[in-house]
Amino acid sequence: MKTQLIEIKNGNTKLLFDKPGTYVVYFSNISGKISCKITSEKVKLYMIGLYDMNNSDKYSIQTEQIHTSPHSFSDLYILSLVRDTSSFIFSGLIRIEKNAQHTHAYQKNQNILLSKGGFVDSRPILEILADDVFCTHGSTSGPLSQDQLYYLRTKGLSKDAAEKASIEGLKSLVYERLESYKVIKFIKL
Amino acid sequence: MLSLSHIQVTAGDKRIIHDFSHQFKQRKIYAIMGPNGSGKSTLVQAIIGNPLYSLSAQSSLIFNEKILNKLSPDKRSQLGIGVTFQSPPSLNGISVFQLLRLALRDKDVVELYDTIEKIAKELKIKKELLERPLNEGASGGERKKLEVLQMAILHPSLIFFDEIDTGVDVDSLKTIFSFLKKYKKDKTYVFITHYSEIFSYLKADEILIIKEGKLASRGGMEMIQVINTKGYETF
Amino acid sequence: MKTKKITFDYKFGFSVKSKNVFTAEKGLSEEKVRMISQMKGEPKWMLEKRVQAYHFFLKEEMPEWGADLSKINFDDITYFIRSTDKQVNSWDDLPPEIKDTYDRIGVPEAEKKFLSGVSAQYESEVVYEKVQETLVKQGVIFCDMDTALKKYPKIVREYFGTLIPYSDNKFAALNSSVWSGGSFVYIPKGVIVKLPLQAYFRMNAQAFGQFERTLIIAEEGSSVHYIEGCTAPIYARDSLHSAVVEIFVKDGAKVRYTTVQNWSKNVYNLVTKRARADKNATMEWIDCNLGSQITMKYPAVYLMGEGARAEVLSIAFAGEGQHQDAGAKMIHFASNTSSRIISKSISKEGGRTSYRGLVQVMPNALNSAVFVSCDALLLDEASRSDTYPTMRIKNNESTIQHEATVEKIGEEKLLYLMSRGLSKVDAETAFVNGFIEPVVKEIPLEYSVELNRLIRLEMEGSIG
Repeated sequence: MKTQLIEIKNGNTKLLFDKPGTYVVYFSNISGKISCKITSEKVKLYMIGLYDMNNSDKYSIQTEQIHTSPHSFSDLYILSLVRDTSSFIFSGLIRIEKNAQHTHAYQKNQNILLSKGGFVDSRPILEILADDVFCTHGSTSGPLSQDQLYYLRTKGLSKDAAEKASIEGLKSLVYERLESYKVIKFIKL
Repeated sequence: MLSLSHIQVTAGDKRIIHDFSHQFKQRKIYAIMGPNGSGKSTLVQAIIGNPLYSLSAQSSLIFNEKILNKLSPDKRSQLGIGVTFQSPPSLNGISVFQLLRLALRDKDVVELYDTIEKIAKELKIKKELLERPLNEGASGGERKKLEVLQMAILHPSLIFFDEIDTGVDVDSLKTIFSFLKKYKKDKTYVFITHYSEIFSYLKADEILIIKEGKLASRGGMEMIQVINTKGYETF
Repeated sequence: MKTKKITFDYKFGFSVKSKNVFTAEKGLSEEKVRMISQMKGEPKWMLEKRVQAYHFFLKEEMPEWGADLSKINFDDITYFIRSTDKQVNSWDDLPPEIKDTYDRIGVPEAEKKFLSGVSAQYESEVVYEKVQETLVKQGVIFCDMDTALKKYPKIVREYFGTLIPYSDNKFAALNSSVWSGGSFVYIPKGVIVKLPLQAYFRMNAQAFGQFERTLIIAEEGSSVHYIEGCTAPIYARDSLHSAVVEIFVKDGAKVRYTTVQNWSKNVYNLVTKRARADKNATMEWIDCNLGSQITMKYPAVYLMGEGARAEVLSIAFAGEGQHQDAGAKMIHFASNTSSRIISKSISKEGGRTSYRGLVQVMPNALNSAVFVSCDALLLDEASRSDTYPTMRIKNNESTIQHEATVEKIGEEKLLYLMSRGLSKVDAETAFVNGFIEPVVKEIPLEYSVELNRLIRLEMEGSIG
């Protein structure tokens, strides 16, 4: 079964996954609410969001991973790069209903604050009503890794170049994820 | 001692062991060998009562005249069946001291403590590992030693060693096996293993070869030569 | 319980001078609020505060988030019980499960009566006197709030309601209008109080009041550990408990506040707790929520001074019919501050645990470090766990890390323990105790031993 890529351009989208399969949902720099409901067994859902922000960009995004049937998997990864006076507001819900036993659900939100005036509001939410599941979420916010920047500079890169390289590195991790899900014909934005 | 008759083991809807029968006698040393995925570990897990595996209705498991089929793992352990796990899990917040104290509620705490320390010394287990949550920060070899320590304290009369030699360096292997020899007395040992290294320490009374969930062959130590020269394919 | 507690005692502190006949009727009114203040002989400023708070309480809406508070009927609650009033008239009136638990965890006779409220006063006074002797020598003040207001009005006035004003939330307003009892602790500069101060050591007869108000002031360089609550279940006739705790940790001082709450299962436990940590101060909240029907409690620390450090370690256990909605709030105002939140929750038999947290890093709080870890264990199908964290970050020179995991006890681990001869209940209990161990190890031994025993009883299903 081929992996299906769904690229979301409209901020308010409701997706229903009612057939087994592997799906990849990708979105970038949009505000709104993306709700993914998994009602079938054997669904593998990857959601990836990339927020590359400048100036006074403001994005507020809400995501939902809702599992109502057993034996499924969902994994959300959102990376935000907050520059200048931009702000990123994120709220991500993982909800596992009573019958959705043997669900594995993951969520990771990584926020890189690159400027003094940036702002991040992150709310990863879990509502778990089934017990035989495994569910984890994580959210980290902070500047670029100082260790990494230092390492690059000792290789001769200027401060700017080191930062740029680190940021590109983080973005390419997003693209690598997409590629690893065997999504063919993915075009970098 | 342990009598297995027409054992069929399934995990979910997949059958792993097909019609296995054997008698394990007291005081003997057995080896169960075979290629990866042949069902060796599954057999052991079914014997100790892992709920993930189901036995068919015809399967008969009798230990010292007690029928095991419906007994929970703790009851089987209390009857005298012990197992060292292939990949012992780490336990959050539960040290080996705490675990053994819970397992042996009636024993005097101080005496237990002393015995544990004594055996840890013999097995060359670092003291810190006894106090930390079980297996936290422990190497493969240390985990196996902690398994052996538990068997020494719990005193089961029949012990299954599931790949006790895997992931263990030469020195640790020596320590473990000289300990096992010393401490054997009337116990029955069953070693599940791929390799014949352990036989330089202990001689097996009988070797069973399992392939694809069935007993492919059995014999004495002469089997080792055959395995080493021709592999498991010949069986 | 421990020997320390057996000999612990309790002195009858102040006596209520009542000019009017005051019967413990239900419902609240401005008149009643005034009467409470008058009976206590309070200064005018406190009376005014109570009345203002009462009016705010009346008009403020119920919170729209958190646990379900719809069943609270404010008119059906008694707001002031005199210290001589008893919770139950006789030992026989106590719910059987509470009596049973006392027996199983080995609470001595006299203490049973005291805890259950059957006896309004603890008999022996010797130990209490001794404790006070030591404290007085150090210049430490430890008494109940009513007494503090009388004896040290200036200090109380300086701090009371400044960290948690009545307008903070509806229940802080309620408390501010009808508060009674609670502790007042004042530690002078540089004094290290070695002996943990226990709410038990306080004077008035009612061991645990409904609307307690606690104020702790730790001057520069001082240190104190305050403990409230009890692992043994406390039967409370009144079902609404709304306490307020304000703590001021000055430069270089350290305060640790440990709560072990096990109210009977009819109680709504809605608490506002906040501490202010100044330069290089350390504030630690250790919070264990075992009882009550509904708990809403989010110990908070405002890190105001550079180098301040804060920690909230919490355990929540929710069994049938219980909802523990608890968490923490850390607000970083100054630079080089660090905070840590470790939350461990367990739900079984339909219980529900919710972690609710707020971490806010203000623009000037440069070089702040925050770590939050919430783990939840679901012991069966019927139970539920939620996590509602909020991180608001306003500068780019800080690192905030949050992680949460929800799972059940691994089958493999259960099997492993059972293969060593532990019964299923023993194995699950060992696992649960191991799960909460990072928090329990910070609690004084006498409590933690009981806590473990209590968990075992819960796991056996013999309570409630």
